[in-house]
Amino acid sequence: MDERSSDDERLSGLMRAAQSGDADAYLALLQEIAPRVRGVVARRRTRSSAEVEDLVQDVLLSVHVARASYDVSRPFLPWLLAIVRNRLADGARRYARRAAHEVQVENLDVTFAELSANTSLDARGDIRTLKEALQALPPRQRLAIESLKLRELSLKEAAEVTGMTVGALKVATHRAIAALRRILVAGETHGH
Amino acid sequence: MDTERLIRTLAENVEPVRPLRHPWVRALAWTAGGALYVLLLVAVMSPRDDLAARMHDPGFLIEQAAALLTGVTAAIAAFATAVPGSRRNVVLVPLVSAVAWIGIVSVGAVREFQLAGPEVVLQADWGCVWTVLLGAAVPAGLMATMLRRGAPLTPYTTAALGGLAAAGIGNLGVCLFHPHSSDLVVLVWHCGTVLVVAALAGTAGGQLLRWPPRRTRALMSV
Repeated sequence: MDERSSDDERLSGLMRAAQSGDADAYLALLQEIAPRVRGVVARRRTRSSAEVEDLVQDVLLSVHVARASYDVSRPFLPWLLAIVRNRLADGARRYARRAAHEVQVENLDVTFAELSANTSLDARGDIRTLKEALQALPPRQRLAIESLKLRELSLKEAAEVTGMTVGALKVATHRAIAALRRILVAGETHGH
Repeated sequence: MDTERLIRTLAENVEPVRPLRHPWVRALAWTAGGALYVLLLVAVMSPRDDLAARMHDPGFLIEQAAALLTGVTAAIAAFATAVPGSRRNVVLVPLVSAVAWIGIVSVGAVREFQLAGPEVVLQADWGCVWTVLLGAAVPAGLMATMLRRGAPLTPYTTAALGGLAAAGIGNLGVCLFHPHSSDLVVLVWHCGTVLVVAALAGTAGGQLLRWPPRRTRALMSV
């Protein structure tokens, strides 16, 4: 208990000096509270480390703009924790708003977006040629195309089925489409 | 920007700030400013004819004291809620005061009804509304300016308390120059206006007392 109150008094002293414009004291204070804030934020949230760091910075900025409201006759840590709780609650609201309006791009078949409806690929319509082209693909690329485009699985489902990561699936799909285009264009050239 | 760089940037650009005074002291200063305005308003509008007589009426004095207490305690609570980490139960004091004030006026209205019976009718008195708003305008502006210097983490509560304080003080001034026919009129048109002002201020709290201010994020690019 004594240790905690002396810790609080030290932080309070640093803040008092910071209110007077002491840059060194303010630097020491912010460097000391940042890991504590990070600990609180990380305990309460299960988001990425970037989001945790974003909230830590939000708290530090809020401390900066609120520093005149700190009364040196009162404990420092409850003042700080009130700001942390406020920023956490605000962060949660912002996250919920963003999530409600966000489209999960990962679930879209973006790898085919470059192909318009009337491409030369569609015009061919030769299923047999396409099957042969698919067979010519490397195994991982073929697996990606079969899972995502023929079986129409989502990226997440395809990742579970194939054992590949979502990123690897996207890369494999992109390369497979490029390879299919090359194979089909080459076949058309030879056919003429 | 990474956190360590942000810390250094904030420390390098730190400027001296004047710590806020205790909420009691700030409420006292605000009450003094509000009272000065209200007295000026009473002087300009000229005091009601029966004011001298009413000053000897214990019922009137208790009623005004309760209104003043509501305004002052609401101001203390508003300034307290603009300090992070302050006790949340501070908001209960003005609520109790407001209930007591409305209770006192209600008792007066019931007595009037018992004495006069159905002859007591509630007349529309929009003049009360406008004068209460006029009396509350400057104290409300002063309150908003002072609250913005703090850190209103709960802007809706803080703004509602600020609105209650301003309208409470404004109502007190109005009772000194605007005569009213019955306590029922005071209950509906005065107390009602004060509560509506507090509710509207609370509803607009997020906009009136946005915290942290928009400029906070701009500090990232200092």
